[in-house]
Amino acid sequence: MTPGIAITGLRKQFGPTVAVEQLDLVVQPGEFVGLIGHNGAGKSTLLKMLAGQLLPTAGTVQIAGVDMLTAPNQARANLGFVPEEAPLWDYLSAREFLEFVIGVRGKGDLAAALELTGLGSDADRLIREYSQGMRRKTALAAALVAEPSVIVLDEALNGLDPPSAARTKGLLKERCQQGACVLFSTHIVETVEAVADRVVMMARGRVVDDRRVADIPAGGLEQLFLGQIGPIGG
Amino acid sequence: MNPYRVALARARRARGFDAVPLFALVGGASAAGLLRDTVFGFAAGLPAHTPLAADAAASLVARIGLLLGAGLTLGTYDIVVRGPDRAVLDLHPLLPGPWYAARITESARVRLPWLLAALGALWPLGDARAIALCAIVLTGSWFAGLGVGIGVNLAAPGVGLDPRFTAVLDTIRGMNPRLQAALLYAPGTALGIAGFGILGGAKGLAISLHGSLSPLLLAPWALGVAGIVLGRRNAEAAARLPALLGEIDAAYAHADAPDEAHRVYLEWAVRFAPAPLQLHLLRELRHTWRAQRAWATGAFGLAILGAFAGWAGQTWVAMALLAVVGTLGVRLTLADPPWLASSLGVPLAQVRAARSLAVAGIAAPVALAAGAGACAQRGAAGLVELGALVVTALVFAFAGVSTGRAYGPLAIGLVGAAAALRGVL
Repeated sequence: MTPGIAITGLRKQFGPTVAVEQLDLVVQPGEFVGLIGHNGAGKSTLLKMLAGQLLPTAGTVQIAGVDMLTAPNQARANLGFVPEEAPLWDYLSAREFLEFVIGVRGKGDLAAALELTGLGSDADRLIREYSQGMRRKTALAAALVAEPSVIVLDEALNGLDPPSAARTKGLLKERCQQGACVLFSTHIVETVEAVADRVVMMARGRVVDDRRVADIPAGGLEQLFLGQIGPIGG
Repeated sequence: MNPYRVALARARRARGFDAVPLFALVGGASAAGLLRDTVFGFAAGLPAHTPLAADAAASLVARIGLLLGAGLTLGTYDIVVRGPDRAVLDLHPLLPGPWYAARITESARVRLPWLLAALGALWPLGDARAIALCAIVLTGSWFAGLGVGIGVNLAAPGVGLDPRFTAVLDTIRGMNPRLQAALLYAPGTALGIAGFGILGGAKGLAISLHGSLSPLLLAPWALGVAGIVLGRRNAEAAARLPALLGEIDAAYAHADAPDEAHRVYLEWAVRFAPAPLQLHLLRELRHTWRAQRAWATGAFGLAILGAFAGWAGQTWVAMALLAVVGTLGVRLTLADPPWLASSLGVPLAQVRAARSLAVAGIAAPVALAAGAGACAQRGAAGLVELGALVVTALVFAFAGVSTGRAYGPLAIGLVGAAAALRGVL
């Protein structure tokens, strides 16, 4: 089976600073993986390389078997990515924006995507009038509307109101059951314990722990995390 | 249906009526009126078909055409490579054909006011045939800048990522990241190529004005078409732009010399200011450079007009331009938080003096260019004009800063009215 995400020997260096060092990671279809780490651990740099928004200094990234460096357009067709600061077009409504995404990706169910946003009649207002939470829901819907086989979220589950968070997590789990894989970064260990099957911990650009959430005693992830990276983040 | 085009059209409608093209047309026509004696003096005395008038018109069109070409080649970089919608597009697969078609029409639409301003400035020529021929070349120059600009800017990512060009890019990149070098030189390369077509068009214009129509009139058009065809072949490369631009931005953020990003225009001049003003001047320069950078770069554009005016002995035109830059003082003063003096006890007199010096420094290219034009034309006598221009820059800067607080936006009108009193100046 082709992995959803296959990262091999990934390294990223900015001048003298090594942000990601010799990182290997495979996420199989159906897996829901939480990525945690202290500020500056290299999570966002890793996710940007995954999404083709940074070039690796060394190593390879494959999305559903397609190399992101050599065939970024085909790789992006399999990827739904929500960066930390979700970019949207302020002078479109959520409905128009989602129509644009469906047009570019060539598929997608507009009604289902609008339902996911939970915006109701606000879906026809301009995005520039939206609150931060409404923007985030629109960005999530845009990433999911074409049902990509790989979903990568950079802190995108933070800041959602409880009903939206529950709806989004439910949908992501459903997508995993249908064969997609999800990799999401967060600082909130409770979110990882609640929804993820597997947790990957990063510190100083490396993976320092990688295990199934089911193997961690209830409520024990935070202690495990602090034990791995130290109380001040290494 | 082209999703990019649909989204852009919807966003445009949501923004409402765009008056910029109209302002550009009127602005170009008004500027031509203001500069009529300086720039179009030849048109008053000579019929357009005489060789002298034809050459003068062709020279003028060549210069305006090159300005348009320069603007377009730089502008297409902003639209095609660094466009404001880049962050959204980077998240999705790219449809090269539809994206490219939408980019071309959007680039043309966004830069249309520049063409309208140039065309609006042709009316002092008077002769309908001359105006039509000049319009063909100017529109061609605009199109050449657009087409070649898009073509070369889209070829640049491929060059930046191609290991065969590594050595060349390392040689020319200076302090910039290697990947930036290809993008950095793309607009200049595009202008160099488009410039051949624009100068060819101007040559054809000279021939056509005092003889039969020359096919050279269409030279810039041909280059524009070639650029657009080249761009389509490279449209796929746009899918690689996210990584390229992300890499460049990250490299700047982690620059070896972190103080590079904090360097400020004219900061070197602070040491020459009176000691009590130095700290305030430093802060004013930093704030102005970071918050109002367009004024500093725009002053260099106005300096070109100032040089023409100084050369032609129309010093008052340069003074009017200095008044325009002087309104920056009004803008800066209006942006001051109201609690600045009351809560922090900032010495307003020193702030005003320092701000006036900063604004005058930003206006300095206009005064110096006009003064240099005057000296080049009239020798040492031009030095008097240069001195008058420097004093004028200081006066308008101080007027803008001083009146801004008391009169608000009305102060801009006051400074403008002062400029209109050219007899007094």
